[in-house]
Amino acid sequence: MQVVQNHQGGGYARKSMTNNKSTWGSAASGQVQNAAVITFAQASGDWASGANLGYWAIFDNSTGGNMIAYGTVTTPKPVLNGDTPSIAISACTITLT
Amino acid sequence: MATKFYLPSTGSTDIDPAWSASWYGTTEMSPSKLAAVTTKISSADATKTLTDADLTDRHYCAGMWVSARLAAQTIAAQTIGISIKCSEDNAKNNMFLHGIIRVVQIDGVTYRGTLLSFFEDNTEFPLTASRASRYYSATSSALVVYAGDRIVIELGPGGDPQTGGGSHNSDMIIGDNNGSDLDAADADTTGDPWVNFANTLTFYTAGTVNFECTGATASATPTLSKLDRTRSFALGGCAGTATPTILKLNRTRPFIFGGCSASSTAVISILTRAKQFVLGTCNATSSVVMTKIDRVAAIVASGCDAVSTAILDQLDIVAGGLKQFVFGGV
Repeated sequence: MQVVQNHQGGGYARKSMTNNKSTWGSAASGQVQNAAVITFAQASGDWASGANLGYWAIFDNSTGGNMIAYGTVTTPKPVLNGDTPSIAISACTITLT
Repeated sequence: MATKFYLPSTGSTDIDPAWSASWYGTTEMSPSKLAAVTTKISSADATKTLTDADLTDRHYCAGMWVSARLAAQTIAAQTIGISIKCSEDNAKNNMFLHGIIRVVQIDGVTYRGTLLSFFEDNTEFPLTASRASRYYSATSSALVVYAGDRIVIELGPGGDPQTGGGSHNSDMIIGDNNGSDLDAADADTTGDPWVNFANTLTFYTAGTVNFECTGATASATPTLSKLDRTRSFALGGCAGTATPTILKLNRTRPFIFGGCSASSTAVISILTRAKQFVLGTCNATSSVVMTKIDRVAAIVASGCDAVSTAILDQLDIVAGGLKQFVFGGV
């Protein structure tokens, strides 16, 4: 999972997640949610120059790769130096299309 | 609970906000852009001196102090007080404390808004021999600020000197090592200068930032292979798909590949013994490649306008006997 803006620097790196039912649970009603907390590395600088982060995406590789899913965040907010971005269990909902 | 900023003489800030355009001059006093602190750092007193022979109404910046990052909040309208030691070298100088307090965004450049518009105190500076505080207070404007914003304080002297001895010659004392604060009043001779917000300001504290995400899957590159004896298979609605690839569909009864407009490359290969194969509605697909389609009873490719390259190769009509082949509308 990564920021769509493809932010570089500030300690940003895509977060690797195994795709199984422990991490994504079971699909229901055409949707799947994360079954584990998704925690990114602590920011060592401002991400996206301190701009609010409003979008997300999942790729099938740690760099480049194919976009598997994408969307928006409910409340855009910045990730500043020292912050630890996190997505709580069931806070990421993906509609299967 | 209030928030009091001290005005050290050392300690630069890591951003570079623009000086206010309200000043006549921002170089004459060699002003620095320093960090405003809420806990003293014991920087020595420094005298910021202005010297000129001008007799017009002008004001000069003596320094800028920038706060730590703020948390997102609404800074309510409130009393902001300022106390700083000043002096002039002649009673005809008519020098007064001036300043402006604004909020700059996280980029350190773009101003969010103004808390205290450019102001002029109404008590003239004392003479140099009796240098003392000048205290100014006013009600600020309310302002919504965002995480990472900072308060920017600019102070300096200004006035309209009289003829017959007047000039802008004056000074202000900055620093924070006096062990006490100047009074919230004029005429105090000992203490550190400060700017006080009547309310508590909340500063940004790094921590966990929780996001909620919603979205949908994206069909970047669907790849289907080795589907054996599927009774019915249809791939459609893949508009904008980069490279749909269908391989090794064995004995699929009807196979329908359609609705993949603007797919960059569609590859269909090794379809064996399909009852019927339909390729349709692939407008603007740049390349359609169909190879090794063996013993398919019927192939219908149509509705493929603007396909730049269509390749049909190795269609075995011998072993299985291709009964019908229609490739049209390309």
